Amino acid sequence: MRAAEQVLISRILAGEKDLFLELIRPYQRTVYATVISMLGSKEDAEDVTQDALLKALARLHQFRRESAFGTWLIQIAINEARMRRRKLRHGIMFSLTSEPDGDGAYIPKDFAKL
Amino acid sequence: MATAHISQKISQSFDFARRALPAGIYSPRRERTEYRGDRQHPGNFAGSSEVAPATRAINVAGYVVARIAKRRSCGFSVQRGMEAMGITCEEVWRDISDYIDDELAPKQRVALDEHFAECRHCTAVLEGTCNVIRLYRDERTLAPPEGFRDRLEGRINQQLNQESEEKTRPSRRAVLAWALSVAAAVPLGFALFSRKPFTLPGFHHQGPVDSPVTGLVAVSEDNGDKFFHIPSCHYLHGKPKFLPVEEAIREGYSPCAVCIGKRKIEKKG
Repeated sequence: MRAAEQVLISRILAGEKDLFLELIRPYQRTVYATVISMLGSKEDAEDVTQDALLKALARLHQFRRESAFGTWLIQIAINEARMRRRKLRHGIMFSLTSEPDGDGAYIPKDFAKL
Repeated sequence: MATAHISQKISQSFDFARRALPAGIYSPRRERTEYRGDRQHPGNFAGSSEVAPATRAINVAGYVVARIAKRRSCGFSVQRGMEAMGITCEEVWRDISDYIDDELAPKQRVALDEHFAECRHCTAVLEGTCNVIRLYRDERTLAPPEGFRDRLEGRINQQLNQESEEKTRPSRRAVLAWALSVAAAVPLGFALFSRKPFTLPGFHHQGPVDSPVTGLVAVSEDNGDKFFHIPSCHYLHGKPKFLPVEEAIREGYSPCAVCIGKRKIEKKG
């Protein structure tokens, strides 16, 4: 399996870019499952999966073959998901005028989850 | 062996107490769930005071059986495991992932196998982990939405097409560099191949030309040197005085080397 992957990677790097779809086909669901387990939203997960796979295509020459291709791919997906989560977090706005919960003690929402 | 005997005896008393109770009082589910491990109050069957001795017998039996079962399942076997196999539950949990992936050394794998044969708790952990992996690998779990693959492949194909187009089409940077070089080459070419000398805008340098000097010239005296110039000469300073060429020569003015140079001076007559 890994040998076949290595051959595919070499051919893609040699210019046969169409083979990339064949290379990632076994990992599409795994990457999606990883991303959705981090983000929770189907739309975001699909978007991030596409971004991660495109990034893998663009940076395939940086793959050092020290790990399995799947591991490398999932790591890219995890990084992309983290970035998206950070971006989504920055987008959250809190009202300054809303009433505080309970007895008036302010608990930041991030800490309240803990 | 002794443990098995005790367990058998307790089970017998447990069965006896169970037979002695009126129907509806005893509930194996309640017996199991209500026990909270309190040694002072081994059972709590509220509202059944008339059968208190029997219920106590049930609960004591349940308690001891539970203790023995607990010893058999995890704590006891861990101690035995440490003595017999030299591997603890913590070590098993650390290596359980490699065990499932079959990436352990044969010796270590055998040690884990032996541990699993003895330790029910670790076996449960192993089975649980395997279940999670099985669920995760199941196509139905966290399955991508409908059309996901088509959309993904469409986007990747689009990217691949863009890349191939960019390869055949010159990049924006290349176009910009080409345009700049043409823009620089055109005036340079004109400057090099034009018969007229190149002059910067606003600077009308009157270089030596072949046409003869006729008509009025501007005369000036600079530190005692007397020169006559073409009126537009930039070396003409001060307020010029205009004289016909012949008269300027007669009065001892020399031609300016810059604006007249080697041009012929046409004398009338």
